[in-house]
Amino acid sequence: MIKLENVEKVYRTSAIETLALSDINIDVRKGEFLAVMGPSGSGKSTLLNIMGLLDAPTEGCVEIEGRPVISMGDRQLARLRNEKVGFVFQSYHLINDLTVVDNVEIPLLYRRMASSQRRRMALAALEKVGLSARTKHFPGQLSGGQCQRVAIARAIVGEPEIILADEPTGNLDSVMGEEILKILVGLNENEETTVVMVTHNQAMADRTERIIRLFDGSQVN
Amino acid sequence: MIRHLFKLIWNRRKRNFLIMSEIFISFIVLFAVGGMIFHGLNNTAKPLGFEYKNVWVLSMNWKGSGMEKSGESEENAGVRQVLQEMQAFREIRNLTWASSNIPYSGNTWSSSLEYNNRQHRFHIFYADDDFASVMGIPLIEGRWFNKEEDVLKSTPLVINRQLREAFFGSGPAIGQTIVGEEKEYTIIGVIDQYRYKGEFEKPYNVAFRRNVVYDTASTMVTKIMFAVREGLGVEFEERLMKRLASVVRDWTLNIERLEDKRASYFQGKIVPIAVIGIIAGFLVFNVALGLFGVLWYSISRRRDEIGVRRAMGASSLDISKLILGETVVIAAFGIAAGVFVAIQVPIIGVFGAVAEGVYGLAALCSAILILVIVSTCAVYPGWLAARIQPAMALHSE
Amino acid sequence: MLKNYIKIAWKVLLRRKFFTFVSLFGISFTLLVLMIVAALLTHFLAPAGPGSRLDRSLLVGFVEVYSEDIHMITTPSYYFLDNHVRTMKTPEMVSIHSAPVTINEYVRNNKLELNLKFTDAEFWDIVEMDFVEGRPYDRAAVENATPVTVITEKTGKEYFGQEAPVGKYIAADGINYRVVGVIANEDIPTWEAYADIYVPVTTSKSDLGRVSYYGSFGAYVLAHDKSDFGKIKSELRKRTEKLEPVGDIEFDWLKCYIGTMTDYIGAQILGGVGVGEGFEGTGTYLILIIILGMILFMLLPTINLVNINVSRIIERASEIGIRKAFGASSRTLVGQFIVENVILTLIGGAIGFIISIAALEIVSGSGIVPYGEFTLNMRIFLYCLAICLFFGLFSGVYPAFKMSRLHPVEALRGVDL
Ligand SMILES: Nc1ncnc2c1ncn2[C@@H]1O[C@H](COP(=O)(O)OP(=O)(O)OP(=O)(O)O)[C@@H](O)[C@H]1O
Ligand SMILES: [Mg+2]
Repeated sequence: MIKLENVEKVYRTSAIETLALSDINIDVRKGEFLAVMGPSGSGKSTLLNIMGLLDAPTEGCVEIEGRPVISMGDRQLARLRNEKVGFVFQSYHLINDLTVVDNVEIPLLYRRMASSQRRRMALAALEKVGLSARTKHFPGQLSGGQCQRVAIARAIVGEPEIILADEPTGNLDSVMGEEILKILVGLNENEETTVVMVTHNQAMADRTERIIRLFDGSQVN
Repeated sequence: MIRHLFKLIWNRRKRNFLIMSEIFISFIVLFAVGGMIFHGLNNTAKPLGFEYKNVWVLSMNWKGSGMEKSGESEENAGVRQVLQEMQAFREIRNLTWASSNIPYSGNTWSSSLEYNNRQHRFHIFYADDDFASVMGIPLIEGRWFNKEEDVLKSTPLVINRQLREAFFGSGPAIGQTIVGEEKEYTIIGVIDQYRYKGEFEKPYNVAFRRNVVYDTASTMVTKIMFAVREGLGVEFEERLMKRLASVVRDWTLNIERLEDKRASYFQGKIVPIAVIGIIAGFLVFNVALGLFGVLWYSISRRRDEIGVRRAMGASSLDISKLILGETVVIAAFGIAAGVFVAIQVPIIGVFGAVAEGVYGLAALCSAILILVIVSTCAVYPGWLAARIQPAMALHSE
Repeated sequence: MLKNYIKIAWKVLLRRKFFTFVSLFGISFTLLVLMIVAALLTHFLAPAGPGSRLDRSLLVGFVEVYSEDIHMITTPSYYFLDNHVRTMKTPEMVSIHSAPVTINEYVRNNKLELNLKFTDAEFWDIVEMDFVEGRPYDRAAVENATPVTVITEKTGKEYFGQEAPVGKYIAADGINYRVVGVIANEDIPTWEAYADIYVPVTTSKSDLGRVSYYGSFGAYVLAHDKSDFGKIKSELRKRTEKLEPVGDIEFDWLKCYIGTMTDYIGAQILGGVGVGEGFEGTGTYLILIIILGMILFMLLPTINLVNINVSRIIERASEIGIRKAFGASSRTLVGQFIVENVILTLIGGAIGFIISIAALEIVSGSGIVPYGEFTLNMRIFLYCLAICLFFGLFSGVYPAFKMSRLHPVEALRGVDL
């Protein structure tokens, strides 16, 4: 579904160049459940950004469903992100001025859809992550774990083909973490959603089909 | 999407309130200035009803001038002498005496008459048989005064169209008599308009009463208006003054051109409007700069939000639209509040009864102008926002 | 400490150049408008500088008569002023002058439209104008109806070009007057006293002795001290309330109005003096209206400044939060912000000062206001600066105060003020 070939990512700041990724070759197949592991700073988030079409690689080629991303315009990319990809960010990135439901509705905003249906889907997604009681709250009024669950609800609400989750259980206790993992596994098994999950938790990673390990920007096996 | 915009604005109402109130006040300012300008334009566009080019005014002052005197007097003789001297000049085409409420003088006389149980107020002028031809006032019905009136028992009146409609509606006017408290008046002619107060005043009712110079029993003659040939200069004016001054030695005379009087009248009207307009322009410019700064800054504050939206599938165009849309909606709220206040103005009638269209037009133009300014202010910040790279925006935390 | 504040403030202002520019623009422009309005107002409303004789004077400008048939408010006659005002006991001095008469004179193929004013000799004692050349005509000249005249510099130029006018003759209204004095253009203190040519009232063509209350004259009544105004007013009232009709017009009662120059101008501008109301206090009323207008005018720039300040301070919200978390007091943070605003206002004030001078120069040069030579009045400037400082502080203190009351946590999270 998403294919990375010889991907390299270099961050250039005025002082130094950071090689965040080098010579990455990954083929994420449809319906796969993938874990990405590696120490802090090894390039996991960078990799996810590239997979999610948020960032372009410095070198190499990214293909989505066989089409090279490089040839796509801004609108086309936005369309793909909107319809195919669901993102869970490491630091949640909720919009502080919007309530929980409104935050969850965001991916649906950029689709043609009746507002009542948007609301229904958002509430359903929140129900799945166990946050039905907090829909009218603002992110500032939630705990870190609750924020993370909102972020997950937002990722799954649009029923994307692939979910890219950056440490989705990082801030949760083991029970809640297990819940979230179940949701992801459920989506993967029942709806054939492809899932790529960054985690530091070996036990969780073991329950996935494939593990990609990164070290200093390179794949290790 | 609109609903989403409203939600966003509502949730940020504390911040937006300041912008909204700025827009609100700006609207009021523009509305007031626009109302003034449109009011002026609306009135200046209407026909003046008389000719001001090549019409001059001679003012005469003597001991005790301005006071009524009964019967034949030394001054009457003097005025007649002056008239005679003036008629001898070939440069003067036509002349007439006038009561002191001449055009652009600021002097007004008003009176009222009752007809069909309704009281009508109007501006009243005393004029003789040549007044209409000197002033170039065309008649639309009936005729101007002439010698025939000498034998008429009732006092002849010439009125303007507006007063005619007030008195008689669409019925016949010529030959109708109106019984006043002391006299009986007969309408003998209707003119279109005589807006002697100037172009900026709204039209009003006007009536002329006949009076001739050998009958100054009840009026004071201190002004003579005369139409002159095209292109006469100071040289002629000096010659005329010398001649007249030698006839009535101890009078103070002075000549003015209606065109000059009109020019200074215009200056007196336009200068304040221009000054207020410039100040208002600067105020609004100041607000626009501030708004631009605040929007610009708010983009950097909202990088995170914009990153999320991009990640969730918003195109860069969507982001521009968001910024622009938000700003326009906030402005629309401010304008709505302003319109609400503006509607009260005709209701309370602060500026008297003015053509309603003027208000509507002023409000519409102010609203459009503000929307244009506000959108312009939002264009660059919107463009900046659209350029934000999602990965970069989301990384910074 | 303060030095440190100022240093940081300077850096902050340079960092956000656009905000600094907008604030400066707003402040200096507001100051500019205030200065121009203030200059015009002092020119028209408070022409007499404090301590001057004009400042100690009242003006008798209107008589009002009323009967069933007639109600009129008009200017008094020479006869009336000479017999009932000049004879008053409480004032130090009374001066009578006519309303200006427009005359045409033709000089070297040019038409001059001149305002001619008839005055007595006391006029010059009260208005205290500066003479660039010569001197005013004296009581003897007025008594003997000597054809002498005082003209303005501008009139002198129009008549004689570059030559010195004193001693020369000018024809005005059919009489040849000898010029005895020339007054500076910018020194005509009030438009009640304004004219191009001043001549002795006795040379007037109008009949000074005509027995009537209505004419085209006015009188300055100089008090020994401003505290005598009340006494003068009541003396005039006593003298005039019992007046019987003379000459032409019958009436039930007559009132003679006396007031300060400001009252007089207030009445002219606001108009609409009702029957028997008089115009006392209309000057104060007018000034109140103007102050209100000024406050309304300042509303928009102030909100704008508040808006910008809110942005500037929110920018620092998390910084403030962190500092607070590590123990900085709100006082220092608010202090820093206030210092920034004061510096901004002062710089804006300096710019406003410079452009005001330029703008007043332009207004004076444009000739929109006859004999209006406006100079920047330091006292007014300081007032205006104080007002701006107040608004500058207000617009800075409000958001700073709100920010200082935030808990560190809220500040860290990012907030709306
Ligand atoms: N925008 C950027 N500019 C410069 N360097 C960057 C940027 N983004 C990431 N990097 C660098 O790239 C490297 C990889 O970063 P990345 O965020 O992918 O790490 P990570 O594996 O997600 O770490 P963590 O587990 O702590 O989240 C790091 O060394 C980081 O400093
Ligand atoms: Mg990471």
